[in-house]
Amino acid sequence: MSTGQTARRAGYCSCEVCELLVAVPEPDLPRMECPRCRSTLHLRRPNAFSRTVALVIAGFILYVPANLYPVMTIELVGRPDPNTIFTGVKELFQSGMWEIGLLVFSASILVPLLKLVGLSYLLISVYRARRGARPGRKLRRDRTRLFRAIEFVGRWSMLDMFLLSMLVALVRFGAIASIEPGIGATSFALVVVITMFAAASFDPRLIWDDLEEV
Amino acid sequence: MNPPVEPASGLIACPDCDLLNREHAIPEGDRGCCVRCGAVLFSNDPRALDRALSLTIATVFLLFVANVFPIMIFSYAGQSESNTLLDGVFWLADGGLQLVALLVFLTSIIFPILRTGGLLYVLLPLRAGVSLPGARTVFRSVSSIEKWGMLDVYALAILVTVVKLADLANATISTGCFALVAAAVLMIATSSAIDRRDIWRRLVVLR
Repeated sequence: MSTGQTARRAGYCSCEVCELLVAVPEPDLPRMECPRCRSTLHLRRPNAFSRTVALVIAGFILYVPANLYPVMTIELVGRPDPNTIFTGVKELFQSGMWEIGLLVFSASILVPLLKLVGLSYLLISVYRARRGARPGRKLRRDRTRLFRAIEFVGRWSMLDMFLLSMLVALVRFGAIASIEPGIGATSFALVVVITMFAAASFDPRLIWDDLEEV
Repeated sequence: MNPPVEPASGLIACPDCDLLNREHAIPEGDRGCCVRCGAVLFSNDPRALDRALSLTIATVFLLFVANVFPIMIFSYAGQSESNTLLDGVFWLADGGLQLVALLVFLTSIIFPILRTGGLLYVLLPLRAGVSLPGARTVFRSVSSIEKWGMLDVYALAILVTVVKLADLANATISTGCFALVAAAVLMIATSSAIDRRDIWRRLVVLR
């Protein structure tokens, strides 16, 4: 059942942590604490739009070295073999393990890119709605779903970092002569963290805020 | 300070679209969703706390085993070597990947332990009808680090490694791995069992 209006319009602020509804006398109070869980109350996540824009741009920039530079150079008995994330996936496909290859490809290459593209799309659509575009309800619903998917799927990009932490074990007993870390690995780790922060800084309520009638 | 609106007033603001919804009676095991955007707002499960608590207790033991016992045993040219969760972190740092090592350390060891320990600290007393000092702060922190615990992703990485290295070296999973996979599954189950609205309500009543 709906009350027919948004919390903000009705003069309430919903605590993001414990979901307590708090009455706000004025729309823009400098700093308020949730009386139940003591976290800071925000009507909307602070500077959600510009923070997400900044983090998405940073993510796109780091995505380039993360994919171009080797994650690590593995030396198999005198034969150095620089491994980027993509060559890792290619090797899996060539040796017939296409299921695993597809998995690593999705988690490491596809998911970060789709996250960045998806967030950009959401940012652009919020910007356009503020400029007077009037997206329909169904579209807004789908956009909210897209955001939930982005939030959910982000952590799985860490897969490659965990793979790395097990691969280094191989050096210990001589199956691999040496492993040289590449800047690809650090860039990739930063992409994962930054895109997770980007999703956390975006506020899905922005998708609905310009809607006059509920 | 503003007076908090009584949670009993039955109004819920949708976290995803800010629409004020009215909490209404739903059949047991059902969930109430936002009428505008479809986000899940509330659920009706009288045994949610029991389930979350028992899952948490089981996770405590599994996490202990997962962190102490080796995850994998590699055998190559007649010798064998095992690695624990922490070994991988040290070897990454040794190899010059400090940032990656830190991230793996936090997401596979620290956050899962903090989250499970924190939940135990809040849920166990709550089940007994009391609330320990700082329970609200602990529960707040637990909620915020939830998505940073990535044992489930780690479990997938183990699977990939075992398949990938099948011909290069003989990699077999070991005690720690079984515990890790089980812990990962239970932690997902815990997340979906927890009724956050109910727990916050209880934490306030006991104050």
